[in-house]
Amino acid sequence: MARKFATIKKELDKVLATTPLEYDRMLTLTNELVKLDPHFQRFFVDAKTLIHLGRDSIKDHTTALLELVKNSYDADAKNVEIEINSKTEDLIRIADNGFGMNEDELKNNWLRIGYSEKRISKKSKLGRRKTGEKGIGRISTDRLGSNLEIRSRSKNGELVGIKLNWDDFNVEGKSISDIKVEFFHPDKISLPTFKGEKALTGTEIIITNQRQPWSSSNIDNLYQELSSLTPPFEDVVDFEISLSNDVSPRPTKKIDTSFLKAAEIEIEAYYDGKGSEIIYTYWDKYNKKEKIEKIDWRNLITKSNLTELDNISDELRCGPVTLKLYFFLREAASVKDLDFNLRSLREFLDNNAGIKIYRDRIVVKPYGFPSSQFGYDWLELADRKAQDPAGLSRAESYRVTPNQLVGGVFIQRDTNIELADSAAREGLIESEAFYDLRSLTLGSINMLESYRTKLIPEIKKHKSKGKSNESRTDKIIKALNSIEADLNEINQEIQEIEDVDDETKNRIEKNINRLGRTSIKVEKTINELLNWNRTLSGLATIGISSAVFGHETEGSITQFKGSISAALILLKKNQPDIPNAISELNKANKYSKKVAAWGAYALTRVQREKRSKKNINLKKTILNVINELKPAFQASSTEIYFKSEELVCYTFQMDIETILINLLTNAYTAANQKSGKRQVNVELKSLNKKGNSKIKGYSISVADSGLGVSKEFSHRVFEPLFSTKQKANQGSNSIGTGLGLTVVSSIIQELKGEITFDKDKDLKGACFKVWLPLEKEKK
Amino acid sequence: MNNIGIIDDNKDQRETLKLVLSAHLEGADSSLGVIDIFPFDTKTFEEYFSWIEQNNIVFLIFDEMMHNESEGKTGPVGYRGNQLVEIIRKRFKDIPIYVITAHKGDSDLQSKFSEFEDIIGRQEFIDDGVKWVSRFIRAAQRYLAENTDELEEFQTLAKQAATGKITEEDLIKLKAIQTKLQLPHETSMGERKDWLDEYEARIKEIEKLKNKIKTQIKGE
Repeated sequence: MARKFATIKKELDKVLATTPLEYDRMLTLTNELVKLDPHFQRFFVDAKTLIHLGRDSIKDHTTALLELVKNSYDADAKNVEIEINSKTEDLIRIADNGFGMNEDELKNNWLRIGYSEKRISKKSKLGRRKTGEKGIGRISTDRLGSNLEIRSRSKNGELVGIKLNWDDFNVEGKSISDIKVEFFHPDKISLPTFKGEKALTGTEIIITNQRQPWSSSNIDNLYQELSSLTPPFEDVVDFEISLSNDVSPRPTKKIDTSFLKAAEIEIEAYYDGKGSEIIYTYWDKYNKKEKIEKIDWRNLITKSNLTELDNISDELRCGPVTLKLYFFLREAASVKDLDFNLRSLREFLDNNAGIKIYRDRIVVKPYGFPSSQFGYDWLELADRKAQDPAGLSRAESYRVTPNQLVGGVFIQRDTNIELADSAAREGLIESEAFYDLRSLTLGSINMLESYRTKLIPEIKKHKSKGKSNESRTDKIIKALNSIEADLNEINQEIQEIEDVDDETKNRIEKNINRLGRTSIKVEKTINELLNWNRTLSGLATIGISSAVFGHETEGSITQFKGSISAALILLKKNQPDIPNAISELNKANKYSKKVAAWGAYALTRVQREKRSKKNINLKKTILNVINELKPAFQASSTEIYFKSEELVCYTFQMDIETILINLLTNAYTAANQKSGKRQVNVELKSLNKKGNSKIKGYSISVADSGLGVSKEFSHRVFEPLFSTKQKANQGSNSIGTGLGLTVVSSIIQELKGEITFDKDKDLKGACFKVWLPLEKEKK
Repeated sequence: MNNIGIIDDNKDQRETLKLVLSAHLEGADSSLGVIDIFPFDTKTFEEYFSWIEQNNIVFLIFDEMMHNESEGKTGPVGYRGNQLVEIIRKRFKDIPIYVITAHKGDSDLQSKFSEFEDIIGRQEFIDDGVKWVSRFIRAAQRYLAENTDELEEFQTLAKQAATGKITEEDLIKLKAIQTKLQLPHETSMGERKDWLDEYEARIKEIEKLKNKIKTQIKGE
């Protein structure tokens, strides 16, 4: 060994004496010499290892590019230019105006694999928390192309660069130190400008001989991921990225944070990292007032049905977290009074929907990129919605649609140590801390959903504000008339043009006249249909009221028959019981009248004269209906009181009767749900509608002593086929059709009225109040 | 006199049924009487138990929709026949209970079918009263016979227990009858004897104590 040592040493001395120095030979000999150390041996790294390391750590070329952009961010760059040319030339260029590297940094830091200054100095001069720590981001360039050239200028003004070919590393049996990386002083460097100012320092990376071509969808994906690199919730003014390419050219656009103003609900959750308390701040566009509430972590999880109580830790293991959720409606009302249109909002949502994780303000892939090529729905929001597709009206099972949510979970590398990167540089290690973070996010979505269901009355009110009082029929007729008037005008103009021949003029006139006649027919048909609808509503009301009051009639018929039968039995006895027989016959007579009254009630409901519009005495109309239904109410010990003013209105009697019967039917059912005193109050009074212009009108209110409308169902009472009658304590399962209030509200809409309901102050049950305009006959 | 009890909130209906039933019972030479009542406006339902016991009710007829009407200042009571049956059954396990109703198909009522002897449509009863009343009479007699035999045996065993002559085997039998007839266990003769023995022992102790105090006072 001593002889071998002497031989190598001798040769090394010889190499050191040569000019120019044979560096490769010197390195080989030094390595050989080191191996002769009798006490210690050292690892040697195969060149190929570097390639494996890079390719195993970086999933795809989008991730590789993002790694380079993150490096620029860590270098305090304010602007990053990305150029991807696959079609016209073979070039990828990433240039930033960061602090750059000097010769020493390039040689000792960049070329030292696994070295990360970010471990030593965690924050940049601009105060940015550096994103990477493993010191392998630079190998990602291999994923993009084989030839790499780096040019950099730091504050000392010196231009330095290196060139390498990654393919040189991809050979068997070579040590990493055997591969040459060219160091050079470039003539020029092209750095991005920032706010018109030319950059003095920065780095330019040029990659050629690309590994794979970029497709249009790759570019879309990259664009989306770059857009999401920093959170859209705060205007990140000091970091811009521009992307140009020859694959799918598009104007580079900065994310506009003003879209957030269109959110219907905004929720912020804050957990300070200690204890079990989470502070929620809610904001919505209807109340415009913040609401703050504290929720215990365990409560949040059990409330959201996320896991069994036994499996919940006492406090969150993920460390301090801030969570922001924005809920958007993808409809025109969202952009009202804002500077952008619905299309732009939808585009913003398409690009940003999802709940992303941001660590030190930089996105952690792949969380919350549901639509991106390699992203995934980490919260399974889409599955959740698919399992419960119910709309907001079904409050108990309402789930937000993922494309309506934009959100961010904010963590920090220094404070959320448990949330570590997975080795594959994509995502976090799925530890208990991660699962707690996920549960907190899902629980917060749940909080948003329950907050939104509580807003239902406001949402409805807001929606109805925009609706005009004009009925749909009026709108159609108005539109037809307007078209007709326009066409007549056009016709007149055409008739005056000399160049148009007579035959054409005649044809146009004939057709316009035909259209005029057709529009009269359409109007007539609509009126006939409305009349038909009126009759059907009346018939439906008979059906509804029969289902409710029917048993009263059935009972009367049975009693009538029973009394007749009893009278016969009493008379057939050996000693006929004449007084009781007479009493039974009197009863039979009484009940036959009740049956007849019900028959008359049903027959008179859809009388032709009630279907035409005329002056009717409202008090008399209402009183008649009350009198007709009174026996049924009395049979259930329900007193019915009527208070009224004398009012005459030009309207359809059947409409008023249908509204009233339906409200009375509901009041009857509601009153019967309680024992003790049962009462229904009906009141008719004149009531002018306040607003921009006073409209003369009247109100009909029906109040009952029942249990009132449960808050849980208050937003659904006008929904077709929704009925609480099937849940009545004392009722059978089949009496509610869920049509009564739907019929009522459609008539009211046609009559340009309104319906509201509240708790009755006196009877403590529900009070439905209908307002209708007091029309007078036009003479 | 043993009676059939009718519980119905509709006075007209109730009275008609009473007249028809009485006529049919008379026709069948039955000694059963008929008593009718408006449902009790009650929360504890205890009134029903004493009404049944005091009026020797051996057969019950309910209206299903007994929750609607009021009579005088009473009612509406708010509970239906299918709810009342469960309460009555807790105390009177075997008493025959029929429903005569115009709402035979009501699902709430049908769900309690097993609690009743039968659910009869009012129309069915009008059409076939004689047939139904014969069944009523048989059911009432069965109930009466079973309860009379057991009551007699109960009386005999109770007497033996009171005089302290009851055997261990008979004491078990007595308790079984008590359970079946829903008679309160506190009156158990065996237990009463134990209690009396203990009571006497305590009195003896107090007597001793009294004597001791007297002696001490005299001693001073």
